[in-house]
Amino acid sequence: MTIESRINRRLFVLLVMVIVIVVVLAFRLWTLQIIQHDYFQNRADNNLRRLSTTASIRGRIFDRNGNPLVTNRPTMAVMAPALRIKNFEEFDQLSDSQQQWVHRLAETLDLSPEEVVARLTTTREGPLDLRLLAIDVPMPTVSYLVEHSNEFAGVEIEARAVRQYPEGNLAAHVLGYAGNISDKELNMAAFADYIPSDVVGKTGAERAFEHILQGVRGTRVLEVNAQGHLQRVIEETEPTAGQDIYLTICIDVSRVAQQALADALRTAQSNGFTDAQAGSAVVMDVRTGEVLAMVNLPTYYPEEFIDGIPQERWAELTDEDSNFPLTNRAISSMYPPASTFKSFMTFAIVDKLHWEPSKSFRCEGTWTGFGEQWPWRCWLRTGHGWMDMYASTIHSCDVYFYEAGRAFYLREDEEIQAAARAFGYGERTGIALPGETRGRVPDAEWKAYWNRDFPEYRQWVPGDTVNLSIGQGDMLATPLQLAYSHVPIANGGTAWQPQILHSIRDNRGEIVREMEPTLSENQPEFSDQAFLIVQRALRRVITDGTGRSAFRGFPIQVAGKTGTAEVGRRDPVTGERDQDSHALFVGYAPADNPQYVAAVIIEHAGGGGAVAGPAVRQIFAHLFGQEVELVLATDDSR
Amino acid sequence: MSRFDFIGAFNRWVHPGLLVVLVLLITYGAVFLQTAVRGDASWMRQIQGIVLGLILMAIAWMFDYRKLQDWLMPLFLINIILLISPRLPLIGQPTAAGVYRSIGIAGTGISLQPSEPAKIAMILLLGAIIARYGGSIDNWRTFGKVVGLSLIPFFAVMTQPDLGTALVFIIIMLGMLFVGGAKARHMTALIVGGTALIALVFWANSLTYDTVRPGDHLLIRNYQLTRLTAFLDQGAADPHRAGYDLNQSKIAIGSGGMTGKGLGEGTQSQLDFISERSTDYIFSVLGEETGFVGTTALLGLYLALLVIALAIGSTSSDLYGSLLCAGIVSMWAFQILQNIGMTMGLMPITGIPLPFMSYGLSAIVTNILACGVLFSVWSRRPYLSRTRGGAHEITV
Repeated sequence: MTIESRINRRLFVLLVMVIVIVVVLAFRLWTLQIIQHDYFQNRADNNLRRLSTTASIRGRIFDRNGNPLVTNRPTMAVMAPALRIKNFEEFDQLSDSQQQWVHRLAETLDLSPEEVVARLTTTREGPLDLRLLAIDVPMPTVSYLVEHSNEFAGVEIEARAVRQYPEGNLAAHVLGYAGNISDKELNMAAFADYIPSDVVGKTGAERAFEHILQGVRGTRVLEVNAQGHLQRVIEETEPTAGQDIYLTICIDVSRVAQQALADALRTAQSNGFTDAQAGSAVVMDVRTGEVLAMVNLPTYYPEEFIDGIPQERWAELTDEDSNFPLTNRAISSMYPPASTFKSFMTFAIVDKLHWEPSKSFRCEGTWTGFGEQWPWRCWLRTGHGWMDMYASTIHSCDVYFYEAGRAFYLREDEEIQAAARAFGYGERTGIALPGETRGRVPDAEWKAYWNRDFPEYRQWVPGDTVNLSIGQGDMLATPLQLAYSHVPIANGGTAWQPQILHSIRDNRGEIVREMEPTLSENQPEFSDQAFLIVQRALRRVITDGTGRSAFRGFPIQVAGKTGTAEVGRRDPVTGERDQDSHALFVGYAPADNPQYVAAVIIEHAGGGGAVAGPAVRQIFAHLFGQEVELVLATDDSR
Repeated sequence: MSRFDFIGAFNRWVHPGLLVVLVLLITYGAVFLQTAVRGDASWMRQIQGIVLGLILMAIAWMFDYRKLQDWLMPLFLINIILLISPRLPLIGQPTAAGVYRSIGIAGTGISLQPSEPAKIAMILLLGAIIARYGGSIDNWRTFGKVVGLSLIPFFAVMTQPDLGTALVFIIIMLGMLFVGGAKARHMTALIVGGTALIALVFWANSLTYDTVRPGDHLLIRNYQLTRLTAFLDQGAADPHRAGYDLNQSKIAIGSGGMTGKGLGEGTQSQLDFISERSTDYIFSVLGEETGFVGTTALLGLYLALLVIALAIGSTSSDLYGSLLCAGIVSMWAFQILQNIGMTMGLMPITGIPLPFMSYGLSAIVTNILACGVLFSVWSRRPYLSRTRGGAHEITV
């Protein structure tokens, strides 16, 4: 073989190799571009498409007359892409330019670099979602960020709406506050379709009507480049704003009620009750069950929660010494109903014991119905003298009710408790606000359970019934229950479900749904005679009894009852308590054609007639078009 | 010869097939590059490179390659100077990472990669060495001498370091050795030995883990390892770095489909999912924007170019010419396989430019210059020219 042909043969081998290479590459191209095309097309589309959401505008909250209570205010939020580190400890792993970026952002937004890193390393969102860096950013800062956008790569400004509270801290407990959804909430079934960037109601109406207020968030399909920068919007659905809600409360009544509480606290303090720091008032319409006012002191400013409340401030608001301004005392705190409970005793006495109204007992200041070794005192140490059914309520005589309590104890039928439950005690009223407590109607079963670890205290003893008969001791009720239980008394026997929601409206103000008055499931079944007796007795409390001082000269006919709830530990020697009593008053007006019931509790303020009574008077004065004035009253009863 | 014999001169000097393929490839590359770089200044630089390449090609074409056979020492020195020039003061342009691949001409902003023209120098040098043995390298001594001489520029490239170009050198050497008549057993021994040496280097490298560099190797860094191995699992193990590029490249090519998304319309390319869009991964852009039609058209042009180069090699008047053609074919074939294979997950990730397509002044000049060498070989083939008397005369 010649050298030429040998070389040609070798070149031919190279040719074969070249052809093999080209065929292999062409085959690979065939599989990628033709066979797997759909798969890769899909991946290319997914590459550049991002789903982004636009928060819906949260529905507003109005009072029954359309006064705005919670509205929205536009603001600017600064969003930034997440950092690819876990926390600030890994800050060194960022490139120099990224570190400078963080420092620039921190300086511009007046945050520490630690805070910036913490907000940009959250793991709840998707890796490519923008993180919320700051909200409510002042316009100069926003302008600076926009003008220097090349120094703040990836940072976006988003228009947002945040809550605004035109009435400040007024009725804050009813309104509640909203905030960023927590990890815990995200796992709850009620928030199944929520996403980490959502704002949800945390308490009050914001929470109760969350699903009405929330609306439907909008979605945007975005085209982005490899750095995640927006190129164009492919598809967009506008968010649907949440519906507005109108509450049954009247903001004017609430304002008067809140002022009445403040006045009552001041009065109590000037009377020497320095521990008087808190109170609660509930006003209901006895014809419908609508709540016109529900206010508590101390209160708080829901605005503080807009951008997440700082840890220290939260600690301050929930501290033991804070008097718990965040608590909606009207439904979450429990107080002994004290003498206001005598009305419900009277129902039981009339319908179960069948005592004649004229049946009388002599009050000598001390009662020994269960033996000399257990003396019980009436609050009036000198004694009331002969007391019949009316007088005992009018003057709030304890001895008459001790006698009745003894009679019930001997019947062993827990008829006092049944009467209390018939008017809603010991059970949630079912008002549509979160955090309502049941209160407590003590009975033998409860006591055995309560003292399950203390066998010597498990037994229901005569003293328990005696205590219950004047509404002291283990009997506990919320201010709302106090008002609610007097609705049937005022209207002659109909228990209306307490309502807080008046109507739902769309954002053009058209009514979507209007709430109707609803009868409570549990209706008190007592004789008309019993209702008449209690109504007359409560009217005479104001004209002749313990409430007279508070309502002297008041042109509207009020019926009601004072109460003084003993709290704290009793000194076994002196019989004195280590805490001042709570002052209670619950009443309705006008007495001959009742429209509204109001219940007021002032903690550690002494006699109910002295401070709680004048507060109710102020509320009624406003409701019936009278001049709202603060009167000084006296009341030593309990 | 009173009258210029145009037809005769054309037949003598011009290989029409090569000319057509070259024009098509240059045009295809230049037009496509313009969409890939989206009209930035680098496109003009590429055009300048093409013009410069065509001038150099003309010079090479006119020049009788056979004279170079005797320039062994100058070729060797040129080769070494080219390869170490990035380390020279004034013109060397080391990167921050300590890589010496480029030289610059002060004030022009032009950056050249001397290892590109060094490939041609390497082919000329190896050809000159191998041609001395007349097409049969039949003993170990000769084989060893040839291999030993060609390993010197190989190591010069490795010190830059530029693994990709070093591999091109090896492939050129293997291709030329084969055509130059190396024995099969010598070639086998070389390949087995080389593979064993590479394995040894990797093994030694694994011993350096966590010694000098915490959590990393000393000789071949972690990022280099993952680049080399990403194609084995198609980027699954390291989806963020080396695997990211591979996946995005495959998505680009695959989503191109039959006819592509249109020039400048590739979402993968235009929205920066493809990094090194105008250089290493230009084939991915081509695949996405022109589809199977565009990519196979390019493969067809490449095939034509390589076949023509081999044909020229077989018509060469001497062994040196055949060897030059074999070297050029080996160079191109490997670069095409490596670059396109890399974008489709068939080959490890190393930065080797795609001939005539990738942006790069040095590369385009070198590739066009290689065509000049092919033309030079073609023009000196044994040729039957018609004389005035009608008889044919063989000119050598």
